[in-house]
Amino acid sequence: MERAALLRRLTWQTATVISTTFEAPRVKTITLTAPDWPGHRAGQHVDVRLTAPDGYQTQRSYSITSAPEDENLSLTVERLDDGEVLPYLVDELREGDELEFRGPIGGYFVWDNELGGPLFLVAGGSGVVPRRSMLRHHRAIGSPCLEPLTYICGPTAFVETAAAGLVALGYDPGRIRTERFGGTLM
Amino acid sequence: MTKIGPLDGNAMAGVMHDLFARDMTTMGYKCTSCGRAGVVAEMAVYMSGHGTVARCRACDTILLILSEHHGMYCIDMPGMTQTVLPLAQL
Repeated sequence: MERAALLRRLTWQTATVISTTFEAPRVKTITLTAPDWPGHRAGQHVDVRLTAPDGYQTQRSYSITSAPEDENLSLTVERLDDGEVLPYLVDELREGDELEFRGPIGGYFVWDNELGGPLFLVAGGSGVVPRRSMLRHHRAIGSPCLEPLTYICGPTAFVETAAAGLVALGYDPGRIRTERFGGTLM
Repeated sequence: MTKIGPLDGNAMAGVMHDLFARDMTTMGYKCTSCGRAGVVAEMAVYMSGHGTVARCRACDTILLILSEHHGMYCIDMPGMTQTVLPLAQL
């Protein structure tokens, strides 16, 4: 996959929903197409912005579930009752709708072959989303194995408990990368 | 106002990429108070309607403050020093 050689500004763009799939009663995968999508690295996310008729805007970050090799960009989101954005994405958004977003974002909680492996992927709740992207990418490129690189993603308390536990077991903290989700008002 | 947290520096990734035209989450730094070394992605981050505050995980010192006023972003980095930025990768 080609990567742009120039630094790229992060601008808001509009994607169109190609399809939506319910993975579970409250978990939805949204597949998108966007005109200038440059591709992404496994583990990256996008920021999604909603604008109300009165002009009020709110934005949230959602991890990309598709692998870099997959044909289309997909996000998987879990509906939380008291969210501002998630109820819209899960209950309302459908094929043909447009979604304003920017991305791909992130350079830390990402994995590609140069970083090595094997991978130890620890995920709680919607933390499985970046893990899925990494797993699919890992399988697609047939990555070989060396010293483990650990990724932990999920609600903050989950991440911190898992990370502390692994360090206590002797894992090298320098080989553990973490990404925390708030798990509160999303 | 929506209050989200505590999170980590990954939550600031989009805003910082927008401001610096590249990903900033792998930037290394030292805490001016306790000397702990870290990367932006691992900062303890607290977001609210007022803005974003990033704190040192070891000593709670405020490392960075991000806020927006009248379409302008204000970045204050009172608690971080010796910043090291790896080459951008896309």
